[in-house]
Amino acid sequence: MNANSHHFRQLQTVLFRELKQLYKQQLNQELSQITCRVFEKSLVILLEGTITQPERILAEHQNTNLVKKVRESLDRIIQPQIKNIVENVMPFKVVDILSDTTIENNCTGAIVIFELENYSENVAKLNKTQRQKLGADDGVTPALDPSINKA
Amino acid sequence: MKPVKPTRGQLERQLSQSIQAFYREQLGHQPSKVTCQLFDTKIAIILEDSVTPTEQILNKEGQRELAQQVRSSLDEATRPPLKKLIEEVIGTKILDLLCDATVDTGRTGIIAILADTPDTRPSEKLSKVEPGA
Repeated sequence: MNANSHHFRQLQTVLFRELKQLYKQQLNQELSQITCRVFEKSLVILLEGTITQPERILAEHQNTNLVKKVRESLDRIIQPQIKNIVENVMPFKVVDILSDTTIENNCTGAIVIFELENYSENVAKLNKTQRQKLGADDGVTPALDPSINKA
Repeated sequence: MKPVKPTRGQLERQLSQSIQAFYREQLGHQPSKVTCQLFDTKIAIILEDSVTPTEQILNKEGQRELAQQVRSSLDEATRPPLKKLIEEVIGTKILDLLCDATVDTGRTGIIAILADTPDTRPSEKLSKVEPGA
């Protein structure tokens, strides 16, 4: 494992922790698994166990339209918060975020699109806390690593 | 003679082209770029310029909410045939298909969760020959 992939794993650990905290704080929901994968200009995140107890009850009682509406609204509320987390944790500006949930499978998927033009500048601009979070203080730039990770 | 399995890259390209044609046929509007990334039992698909002129004009003229609603309904309507198309191209069942679009950026993102890893062969990379070797 090289230094860059090591930094990337550190970065993923922070990302997973923040995402778990977000669902816990906002919806009192414990995520069962998080998977992520980074590509050239995007980050794909899969969150399992996102459906809350009230939504499950609504779905069980055939309130299909209402549960869909609730989930769409929750996704729209959570989406900018995921964007903030990703931007705080990773040295990229997010230009777009797309997310969807299937109630039956209890799974949410998100694709985060990065602006990569100012990558080096962004890394240089990271404040001390962010650099410490990423373990980037030894001057090694966190890099994109194609490995998959689960939490 | 056994048919030759595609490489992962070939499969991704074939899927991108099929999806581009699918949107042209279904919505009369072809996305300018479709990127497919296959990893493990998942495929991430990003479509650029996927929003039709009808939605674009609604959004431009202050009807953003309606444009977004139209897009959600279009995604919902195209989901079953799109799922079928992806399954045919990659030869694997889809367990879950997640789809979202932003009318402001015209971008659509799709994640397909597959039942199995698609059958591909390793790509034949040309090995580098050092001068004088």
